[in-house]
Amino acid sequence: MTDVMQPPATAKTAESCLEVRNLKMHFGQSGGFFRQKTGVVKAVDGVDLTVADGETVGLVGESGCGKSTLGRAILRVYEPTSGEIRYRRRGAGDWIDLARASPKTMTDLRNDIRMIFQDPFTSLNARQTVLEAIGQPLFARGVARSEVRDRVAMIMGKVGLRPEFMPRYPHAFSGGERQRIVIARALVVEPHLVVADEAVSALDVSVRAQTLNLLQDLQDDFNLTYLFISHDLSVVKHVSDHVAVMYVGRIVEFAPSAEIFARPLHPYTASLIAAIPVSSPNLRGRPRAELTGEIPDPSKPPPGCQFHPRCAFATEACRKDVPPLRPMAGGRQVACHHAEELELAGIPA
Amino acid sequence: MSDILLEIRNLSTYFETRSGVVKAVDGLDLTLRRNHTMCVVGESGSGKSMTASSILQILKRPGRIVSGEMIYHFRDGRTVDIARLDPNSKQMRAIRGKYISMIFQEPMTSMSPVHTIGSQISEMMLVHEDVSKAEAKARTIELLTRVRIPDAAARFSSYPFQLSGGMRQRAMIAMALACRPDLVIADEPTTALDVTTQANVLNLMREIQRESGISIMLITHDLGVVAEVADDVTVMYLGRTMEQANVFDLFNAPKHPYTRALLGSVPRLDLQRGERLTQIRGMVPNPFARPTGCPFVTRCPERRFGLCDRQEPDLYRLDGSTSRCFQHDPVHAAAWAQNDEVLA
Repeated sequence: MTDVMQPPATAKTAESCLEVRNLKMHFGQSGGFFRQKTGVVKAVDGVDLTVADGETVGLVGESGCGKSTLGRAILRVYEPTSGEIRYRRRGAGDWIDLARASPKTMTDLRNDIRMIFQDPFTSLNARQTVLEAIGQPLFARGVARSEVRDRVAMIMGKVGLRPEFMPRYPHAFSGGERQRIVIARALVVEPHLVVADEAVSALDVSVRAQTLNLLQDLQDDFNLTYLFISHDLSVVKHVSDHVAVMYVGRIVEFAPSAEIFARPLHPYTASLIAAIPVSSPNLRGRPRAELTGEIPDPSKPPPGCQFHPRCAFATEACRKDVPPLRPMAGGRQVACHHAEELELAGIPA
Repeated sequence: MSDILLEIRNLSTYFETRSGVVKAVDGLDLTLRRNHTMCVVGESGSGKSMTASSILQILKRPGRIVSGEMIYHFRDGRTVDIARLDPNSKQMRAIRGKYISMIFQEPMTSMSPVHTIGSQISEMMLVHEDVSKAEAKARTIELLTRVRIPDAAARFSSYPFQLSGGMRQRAMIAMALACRPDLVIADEPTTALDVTTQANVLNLMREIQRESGISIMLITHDLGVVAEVADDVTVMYLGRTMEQANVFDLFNAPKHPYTRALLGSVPRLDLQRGERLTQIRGMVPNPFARPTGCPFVTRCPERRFGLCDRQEPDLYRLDGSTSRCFQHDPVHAAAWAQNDEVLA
């Protein structure tokens, strides 16, 4: 496997606040007699990703591609196997490597980097009132109860919850309201970077629209940076400035959102786009490539380009050599040997 | 042979609980045509799944059909009112699986974990048809091949946990097709799947329909899926039909305010980044606190004061479609148009 690292292109307009460099997150598998080591699941295997300050980066891929693991590794839910996660606080000049940061530094950064989880039914403690749930990070910092109240009331107003609901328990709220509580809890400490892992996937269409609009308003109000992890490409297109496509632990394409959808460079991106259901029956029957086969087992990835068994354009080189993520024109990056030759269909803008 | 397969008229399914009556399905009208795909859409709590359970009479207690009829047309011209059948009767059991079968959302929880997929599929044939075990096995393998499961003969003896999600959903489709039914009800068949697998499964369903002429009733909350596969669409809200129309009419000229709101709330690929989505205010009302007047009155952006909050609109018949809104009522349409005092 090549370990050639290419410097990922940064967005031109803003400074980056997160730079992931050759990040690897491997999990040991054990089984059989005496629980011997039987294999290694390379959930994240050499990821480079740059997130510019104040923008939204969408991270897409099929289940099992490692997108959630990457999101969690950034929050140091896991101890990364190797690589760097460089993070810069707003206004501060120096970079902190989250992959090696001390527990003390991480505790400080917990207010800077926050996470929104998918399921608002399991991510709230049923025995905590809304005040306790949203105010938890403040209480943990030793903020006085009266001040916590004020700040919780302020943030509840921002996310469209009535502050009178503070003493209530989660069961009294609908799915959409609970997701607002989860969002309020993430934002009460005025974070800088928010990792949203499938934040709207469990919601009904009408509630999803409310939540997406809300996330957008909050980004404008608080100048937030989002890493938006989702399997739903139409949602990702709606919210993202840049899109990163992940396949079996690696980024295979990274580009500005409008361009990646209009003209994908990687065959995998093209097949993901082709699989999005049409938005109107009038568009039925547009020709599109159907992706067959399944995502490989990350403990036994195929040699060469991991996508080659499912790729219609695979050649001998693809079966042997791992294509590095390399820069292309227009601040784009792609990991495909044949990116220049392929004419892949996107969706007309 | 009639073009109509199943006519549902004024169907009501209630759950009488200690805290009150939940009207899961409340006066539903729906017509399924032979060899067509009907999509039933709506938010959670709109009664979509309960409609499916009512058709198959597999309601969990205390749910029960309290009124209405479901006229099922057999291929030979006979008809039967499913709503009148006892859920445990021989006749109802003969309909389930043989004439109407079901595909569930999560195959992992709706297939037996301790039987092989082959034995689960062939069991359907052995129960409903006079076939030998060997014949059933041969037909099962043929079915598994048809739903594009590679190496079907070997997969016959696989257990559900040994298959991937997409593969399990294919096996589930094979099971639903085992007795060559007239109607397959699919309840969110692709919601748990990846986009790529979803596209494969939808293609497969379309292909099977083209070959065998079955009717599909597809329950979904995903308007993209509707745009892909539907011929007809029923939009449900609080157990009622709000609009039923041909899929092209529904997307190109939606009649009911709820349909318009639903279509506007979906992020579409032709929208620009950051363009705001239409929000539907509020949320689906608590089933114990149904609004008076139109069911959608609490959230409707076009509601008219003194009308929509007082009386309930009927399902009005329009050219080729139906809509439950006063703006389509010949009596109230003029008043509706003049009354621009929109309820705030």
